[in-house]
Amino acid sequence: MISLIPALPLLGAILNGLVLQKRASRVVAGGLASLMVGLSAALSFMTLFQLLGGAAPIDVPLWTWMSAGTFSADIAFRVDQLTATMMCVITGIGFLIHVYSIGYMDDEKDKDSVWRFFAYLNLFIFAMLLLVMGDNFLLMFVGWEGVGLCSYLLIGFWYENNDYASAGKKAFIVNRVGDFSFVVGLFLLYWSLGEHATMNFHQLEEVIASHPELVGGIGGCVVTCVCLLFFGGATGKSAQIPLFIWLPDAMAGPTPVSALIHAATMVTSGIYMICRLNFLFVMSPAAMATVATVGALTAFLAATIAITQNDIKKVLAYSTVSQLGFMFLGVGVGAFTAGFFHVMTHAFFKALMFLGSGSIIHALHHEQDMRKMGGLAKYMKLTFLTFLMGYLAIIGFPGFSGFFSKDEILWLTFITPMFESLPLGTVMPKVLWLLATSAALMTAFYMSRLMFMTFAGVYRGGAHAEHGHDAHAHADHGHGHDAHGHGHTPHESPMVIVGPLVVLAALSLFGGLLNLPHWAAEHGMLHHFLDPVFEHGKVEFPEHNPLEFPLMGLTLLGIAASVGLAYTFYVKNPEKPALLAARFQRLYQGSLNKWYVDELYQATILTPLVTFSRQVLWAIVDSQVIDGLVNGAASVAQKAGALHGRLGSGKLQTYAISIAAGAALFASAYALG
Amino acid sequence: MPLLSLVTLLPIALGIVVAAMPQSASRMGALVASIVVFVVSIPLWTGFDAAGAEYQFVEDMDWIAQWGVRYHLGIDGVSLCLILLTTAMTPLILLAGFSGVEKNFRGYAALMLVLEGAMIGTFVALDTFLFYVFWELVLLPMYFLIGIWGGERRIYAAVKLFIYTVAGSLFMLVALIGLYYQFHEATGAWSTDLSDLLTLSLTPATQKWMFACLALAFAIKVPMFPVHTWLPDAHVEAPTGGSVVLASVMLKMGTYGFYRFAMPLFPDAVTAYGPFLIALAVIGIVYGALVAMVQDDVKKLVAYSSVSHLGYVMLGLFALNAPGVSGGIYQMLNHGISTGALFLLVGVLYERRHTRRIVDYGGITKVMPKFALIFMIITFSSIGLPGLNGFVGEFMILLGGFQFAPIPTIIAASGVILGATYMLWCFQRMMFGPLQNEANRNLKDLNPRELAYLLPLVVLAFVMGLFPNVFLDRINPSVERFVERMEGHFEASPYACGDACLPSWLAQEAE
Repeated sequence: MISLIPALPLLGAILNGLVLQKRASRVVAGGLASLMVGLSAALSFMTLFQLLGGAAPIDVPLWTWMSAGTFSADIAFRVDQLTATMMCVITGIGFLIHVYSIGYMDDEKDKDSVWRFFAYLNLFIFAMLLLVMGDNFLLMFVGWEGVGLCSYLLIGFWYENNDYASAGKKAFIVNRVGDFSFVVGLFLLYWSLGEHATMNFHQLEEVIASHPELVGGIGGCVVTCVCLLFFGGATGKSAQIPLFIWLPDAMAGPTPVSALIHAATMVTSGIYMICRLNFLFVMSPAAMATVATVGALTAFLAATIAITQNDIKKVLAYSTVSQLGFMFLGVGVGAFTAGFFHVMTHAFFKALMFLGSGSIIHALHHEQDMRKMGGLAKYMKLTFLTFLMGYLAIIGFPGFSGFFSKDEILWLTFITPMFESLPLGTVMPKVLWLLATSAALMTAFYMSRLMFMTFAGVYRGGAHAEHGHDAHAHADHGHGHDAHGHGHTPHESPMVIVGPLVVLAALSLFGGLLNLPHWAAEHGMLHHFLDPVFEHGKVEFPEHNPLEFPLMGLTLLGIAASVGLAYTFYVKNPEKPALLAARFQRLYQGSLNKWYVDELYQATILTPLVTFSRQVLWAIVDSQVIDGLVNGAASVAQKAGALHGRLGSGKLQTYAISIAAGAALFASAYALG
Repeated sequence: MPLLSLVTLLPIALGIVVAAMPQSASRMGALVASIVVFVVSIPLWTGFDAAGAEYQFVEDMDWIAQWGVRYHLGIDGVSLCLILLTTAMTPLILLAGFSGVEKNFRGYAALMLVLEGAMIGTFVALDTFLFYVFWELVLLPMYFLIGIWGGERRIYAAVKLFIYTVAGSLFMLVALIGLYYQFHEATGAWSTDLSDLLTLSLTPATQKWMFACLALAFAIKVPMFPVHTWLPDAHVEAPTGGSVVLASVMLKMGTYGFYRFAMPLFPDAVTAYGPFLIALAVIGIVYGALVAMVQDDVKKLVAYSSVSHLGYVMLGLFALNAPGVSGGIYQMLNHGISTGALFLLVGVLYERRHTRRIVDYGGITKVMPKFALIFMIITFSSIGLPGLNGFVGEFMILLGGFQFAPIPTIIAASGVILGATYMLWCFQRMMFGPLQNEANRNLKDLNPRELAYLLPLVVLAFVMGLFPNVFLDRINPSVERFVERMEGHFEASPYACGDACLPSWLAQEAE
């Protein structure tokens, strides 16, 4: 039964992608794909309830994949509490987004490609399930690269647009940089274990528990290197510094893809991986400190960029990068459950907001520029109300899911004992807390900005009758919307789109109940459930601290102030932002241009590498030096014996004679002997 | 007739038959002939005892008795896989040639069959003289395939191939003759038989120069950096079928030569020169990938990717441990499938557009969706996407390599990034983007014949990626025997110890 969970979406992908193809209409293709994921979700929840009922983790061995000498890797699944929770998030949200996509893809001009979209989407669910279900590094890596492939295919879904195709390629290659780090970490780990070497997570946990000295013990160099290399892999997949640059570009894909892959599921695989390897990471406070610091810095940096973006999807994209930073901060300070809890709540509210933005974009015929929106609350009530839930969740409005998960991370960061053994170990948590809290305040600001620019005021798009054309040029998806005409007023999206929004809004609102903080309940449900997973990776946080509520109050005040600031900027005095931007031109341009990180990489890595390869390796080393030597040698031979003339003449005898001469030489040697 | 002789000589005989056929019947005749050879080779697979590490299907008789030359054939799991790769690829190549070869198909097919027999010969020969004969025999048909059916600069490319290979062969010859005399000195008897020669215990100095000679011959064939420059020219000028057979099988003769002859015969020399060859292999991986990245000609790009991929194979072989060597052998097969398929795909486009320049394409997916799908699968197979064949070999090589030489392996592993870069960039420029070139607007998608020779390779890419143990079960026992033989010699050497290559602080920690 467990095998069916990934098998069904795979079957859907095969049916749509190879069998039905153009024969499947949008509804058939989408219906089939949704059905497969829906069934898969049902089975996942059954498994989850089984585990909630106290069942032991389920092992499903399938076949031995590859082996040589003592090395062996299996195709086998292992479903424990962590995996089951992820499976439900993936298939549950996946199902909602599949359904949503049926509505969203209705204006695809090239109706022939809708089947392709759903085939990729199903394939993604399959790969993502492999990633979390694999019981060993290699199978996880299949999923790990598999989701990268689907991401590549879906970002470049409108492949006729070169920019989109490039964005897909960029995502894949940047991820490969991370994967490189990941496999090197794996090789190092495997090597250090010597005769105990294994690819299996469960066995690894046992080996490490009984022989911690193999990886250098707590604080050892080997374990630190291994963890840092694994984390390098996570920075690729989960878009952290220094590899976060692909995610904002990934927004070139259709919006449901952004919601599913680039917000709710795939980008959280890095956090999943660290949670999976918690027993290893806790052995290295230095690696944990790196994870936490990179997380906090990314949260901060991405927030500074999100503040000035005008494309609604770009704001959400940088906000995702920033929220992923929070999750890494959580796991980095040893609060694995808190980090993972934020994975879940973020999946709810970010999927919701992406789908909400999709609903807007769909209604405005692929307009993504917030400067051409405004006043939409009036036209799209349900979209607005559901979006509002997501907004309140992400800024951490008390009671909403994001409040609980983010607050837990902030608080545990403040009191973490994780870095005590490190230099500056007592100051570090406070600095991280400060960074993260300022990121949280900025989040409140830019999300409010997004809300006000989109939903408040008056609609700024309808004024230009021609906007439809601009939008089309701006987002040249090959979409046909001619039938809709121009100069329209925005309208609410159909039920198939709004339905999933309502479900996600409910989850964003009530998701916090899944893991109530210690002051509200005896123990959080998720906390309790995931306990066995973190058996060897438990970090003991101090129980009570008088600062907890004052800090929470402080944060809430700051958030309220940020919202107020955004209100004055974007509702009361809309001319203010421009004045400020003019005053701080440098800062504004830096933020608007993403601090020129892309340009930096282009100038320092890509361009030199290509130029060097072309001008030096290819033009000089290969064509001149090596070939020069070879051709030089040949021409010497030619001059000496007019060899080339005869060889080049194409006469059979010449070659036969040369071969014969060789053989004769050999033969005569024998004869002489 | 014994099976190995049959599989080796039948294609040559059938090649002669095809040469005598009328032009009109030669297509079907050649195709049927190659399929017959494939069918005949299947009992090798079914009859092979997977657990056995010894040579199987052995045929051993005197050939030139007074010189000690024997007609000694036999296969282990490694040769088995390479033979099947050869017999499976040949029908596909001939089928592809139906449209690509515009003149004298009969001659083309006859040479192709002779070539097939000669290549199989190199994989079954267990006598050095016999091996040398087949080795040289391979060159002839290849020379003509390029020289007659090639592109504009075919003569230049063919001569370059010829000179490079013959130069290498001469060195090999010298080493083999030297070995022949060494054996006589040691035992008083004459023999060219590999099993006899393996019993010799040579001084390290002797081993070194002999190994150097053989290694040069094989390195040219692989081809390893810096003796690789014949390959891009040969690939670019060769007809599609020539490129495919070159990439799929012929290059493997070089790596196979290392595995079968150069390394087991001279293990002390492997200890001495191993680091040097690993260095060249790693340079080849990175260099090949970087140069591939900047090519404008898609065939050249694939050719340089071969340099890079074969570098992995060499790294695996010289890792001298089970995962490394098995991975290296497996990568030989993978490269045969994926690069062979890439050349076939390029051939499909070339036949339609008569250009190999990447800029002449763009947006092809729109008009050739089936082609695009297959091209994409093969592209990802080539860049080692898990689930497809390329990953298995690459991963095992790097895993084994890291146990042995961590720093070079880390550099080699960066090739996975570069590999993705040049392949995806090429794919994007050819297949994605708007369809701007008018000449491409009416391109026909794959026809049934083209699907017939491409689909088997796609299926194999999946099968070999998901069930590699089907093959590895047969390869591993042979590899373990190989590793054991090498182990006896390299244990005392510092080169054998992976720790030595790691930063000392890291190595000490792990003690």
